[in-house]
Amino acid sequence: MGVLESRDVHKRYGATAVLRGVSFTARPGAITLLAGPNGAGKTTWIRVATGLARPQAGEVLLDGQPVPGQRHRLGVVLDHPSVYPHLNGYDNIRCLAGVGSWDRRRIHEVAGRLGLGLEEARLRRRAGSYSHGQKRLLVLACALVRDPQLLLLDEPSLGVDAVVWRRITETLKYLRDEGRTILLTGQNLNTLEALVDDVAVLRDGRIVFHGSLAELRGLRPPRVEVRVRDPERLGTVLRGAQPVPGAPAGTFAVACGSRAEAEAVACQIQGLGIPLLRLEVREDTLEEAFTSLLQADGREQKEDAHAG
Amino acid sequence: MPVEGPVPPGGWRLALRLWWSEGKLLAASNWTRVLLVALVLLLVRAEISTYGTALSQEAEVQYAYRASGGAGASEEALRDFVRSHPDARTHREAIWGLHPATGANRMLAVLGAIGPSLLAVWSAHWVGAEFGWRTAAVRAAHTGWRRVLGVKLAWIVLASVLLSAAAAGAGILAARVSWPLLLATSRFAGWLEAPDLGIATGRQVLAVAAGMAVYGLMAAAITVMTRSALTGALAGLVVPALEPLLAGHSSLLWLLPWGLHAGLLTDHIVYLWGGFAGPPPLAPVAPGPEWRWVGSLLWMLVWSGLTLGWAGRQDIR
Repeated sequence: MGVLESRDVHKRYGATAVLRGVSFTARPGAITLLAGPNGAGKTTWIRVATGLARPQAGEVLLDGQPVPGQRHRLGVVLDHPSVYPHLNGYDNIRCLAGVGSWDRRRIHEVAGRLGLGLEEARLRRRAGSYSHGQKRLLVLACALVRDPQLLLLDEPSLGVDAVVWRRITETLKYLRDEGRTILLTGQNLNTLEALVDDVAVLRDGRIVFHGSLAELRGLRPPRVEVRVRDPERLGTVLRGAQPVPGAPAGTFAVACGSRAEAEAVACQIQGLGIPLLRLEVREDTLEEAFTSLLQADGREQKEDAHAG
Repeated sequence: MPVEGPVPPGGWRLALRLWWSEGKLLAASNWTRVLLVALVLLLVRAEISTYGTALSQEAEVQYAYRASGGAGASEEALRDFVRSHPDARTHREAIWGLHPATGANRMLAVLGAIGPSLLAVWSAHWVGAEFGWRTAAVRAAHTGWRRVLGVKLAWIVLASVLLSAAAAGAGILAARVSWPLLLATSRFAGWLEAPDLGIATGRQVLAVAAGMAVYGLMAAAITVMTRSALTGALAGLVVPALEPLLAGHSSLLWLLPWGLHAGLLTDHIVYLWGGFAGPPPLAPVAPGPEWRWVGSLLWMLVWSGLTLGWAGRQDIR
């Protein structure tokens, strides 16, 4: 159990419609990324899901019940690492975790997993003296101490170094493997790619894609990228080859229907006997797929507007 | 394997944890420390001032005695003058002002004058800090904003009672030091019998606490509605000063918080001559003393209801 469902959520601030019917689901045992450009409505959706903002229509459900009514199953990490600067780490966890466990052993277990508990003295220090990354770990600890079925994280990678991010990702993977439902937002897609299983893409307050990471990356077919010294010879052999924008001169891509076809094309190019500087079968990265999706959606919108 | 998630804590466990959290935040707040130190300094200043006034009665009584035609009489006659003559009333009161029997009364008089503003400023900062540190959002998501505020409001009422009781206790303790000092330096002090104020200290404590709680809850409500500690604190300073101006224009305005607070102070605190804090400006008259209690309680409910009602509909940032 632990299916998160966003059902036709609408949210306006004054005359501005921020969410315009957001619907998607996040499954337990998976990490779902809610992606979108700046201003798409990701943080607003998190605020609606956690009960911090009231939607004009729609609701966010956990196992069929509104999330704000099941706070004891929820752990939240907001975009800003909010702590009480005058309290130490322990007391911050107790106050901010709210109804979560106050068991000192549980706090140590969570803090240890995050690397916060390596030095107990750190948790005894006032949180105002923590670095940004340590504050991020502390607020994550506040959420985890609650033993949540649903974990919502807004921009967890923001402002953290590689070491802290590794601790966070290891912890999130562990929780995913335990069967918890995890949804996070983020801008740094290259960093998040190795972590997430599913993706929901928000654009201008509506979902333009929802599916697995593999499905998103598969929206554009795989291609063979090749770089040669003598483009003329390649052009005569493979008529479909197109120059890759932004790549060094002599780089061409051949679009294929499937990975098998791409591999066959790569073998064919190798067999041409022309000197190759690079030859690669490529699929979109998360960031490329995301960018491509948004561009395609933008074109569609323009066309619709034009037709209308 | 999917997990079922934690079992929600029972009502009493949740309440106790929230109560502990708020108590911790309260005790660790710099504003609590600053305002407590300011209050202690003020009470010490009040005690020194009252002591100085009482001590000065040695010469004042002699002067009043001679002015009433008692010059050259025996010490017995002077003693009778001090004990019972109408011209010596203010001098008696000034000395009684330091008597152990009035210790709680004099400190509560001081707290009654400044307590409402003090508690309003403190409440505004205590509630408003959650917005300033942006912890309101985390607590609202994890615990529920109304629950958090409900416990904060309960703490504001309790803090009013505790502060009031502490002031009464401080007065009783201070009198154990000041009165023996006065006895050692003023012969008149020993001539006077213990005054009987006729009001139980417990009722005095509650009367002062009621006014403080009303203004503390008002400041909390304004802070929640505006998300600004500064606005709440300013309201706590400005409103008690503006209300007397309004209250003078209608007999019905005894229903204003200030009218009720001033009425409760007048009913329960004895303002002796020479005291550090004087009586409040004339309060509009309520139909009966018990209505002041009822009115204060109603204001507490109004501000609490407004805070919790607003919190339930509020977008928290």
